[in-house]
Amino acid sequence: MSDKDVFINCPFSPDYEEFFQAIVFTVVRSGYTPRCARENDDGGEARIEKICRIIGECRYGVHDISNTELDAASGLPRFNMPLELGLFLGARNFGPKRSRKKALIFDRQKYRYQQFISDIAGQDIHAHEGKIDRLVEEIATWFRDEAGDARVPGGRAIAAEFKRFQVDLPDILRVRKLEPQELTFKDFHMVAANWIVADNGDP
Amino acid sequence: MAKSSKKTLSAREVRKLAGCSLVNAPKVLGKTKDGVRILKPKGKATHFSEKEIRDAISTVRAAKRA
Repeated sequence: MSDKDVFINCPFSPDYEEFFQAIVFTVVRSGYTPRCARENDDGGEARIEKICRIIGECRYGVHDISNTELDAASGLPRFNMPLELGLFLGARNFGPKRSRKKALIFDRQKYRYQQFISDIAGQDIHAHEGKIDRLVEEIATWFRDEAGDARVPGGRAIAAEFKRFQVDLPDILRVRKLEPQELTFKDFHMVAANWIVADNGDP
Repeated sequence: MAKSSKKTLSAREVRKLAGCSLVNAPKVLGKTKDGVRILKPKGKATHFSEKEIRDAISTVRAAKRA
C-alpha cells in the first residue's frame, strides 16, 4: 500500500467530467497520486478485481456518492459509487492495516445521504453543493490536514490554479492535435502534473 | 520470563527493507515554488510522450506570454 496513492471513486459520465478533472488536479497539486478504474485497460482483468487491487494499493480514498439520479434509458440509479465506497470501508475495517486507510466522502448536501445510504451515518460527509470550487477547497483542506504539511496550498489557491489550467488545456491538446473527448485518464494525469510543475516551478 | 515478540532485524535485513522502500518510493516529477513535490504518474500517457507534453505546455505558455 502506498501512502501517496488516492483512490478516486466518482461517476465517469460526461456531465461529471469537470468534477473528475478537478479532483485529479487537486490530488496531484497536493503531492499525491490519483488512481482509479480508468487507469489501465487490461481486458484480462475483471473490473471488480481491478478496483479491489487499486483500493488495496491506496491509503486514501475520495468518494463522491452524489450521483443518485435515475438513468434516462433504464430508469434505474447507478450503484457503482456506493459499492466501491463499501469495498473501501470494508478494506479499512478488515484489511491488515485497517487503521491506516482514510476516506473523504462527498454528497451534494451534508445530510442528504441519510435518505439513501443511512448505514454510513457517523462518517463525516462533506458537501460540495454541485460546485467545483467547493469540491476543490474541501479536498485540498483535507489533504493539507492529513499530510500535516503547511506547504500544500489552500483550496482557494488550488481552485484558481485549476481555472487557469482549464483555460490552457484545450490549447495544449490543439498543439498535440487531440480533441478533449479523446483524452484518457493517463493523458490528463500526465498533462496536469507537468502543467503544475511548469506553472509553479522555478523559472 | 516471557519472551519478547519483537524480533531484532539483522543488518542484512535492514538493508533489504531499506532497498525495498527506495524501489517502491514514488518518483518526483518536480517541486513547486511552495515546496510541494509533484509525483510522476505511474503509467505512460496514451496519446503522447512526456517530452511531447512538456513541449506542448511550453508552446502554449510562451504564446500567452508573447
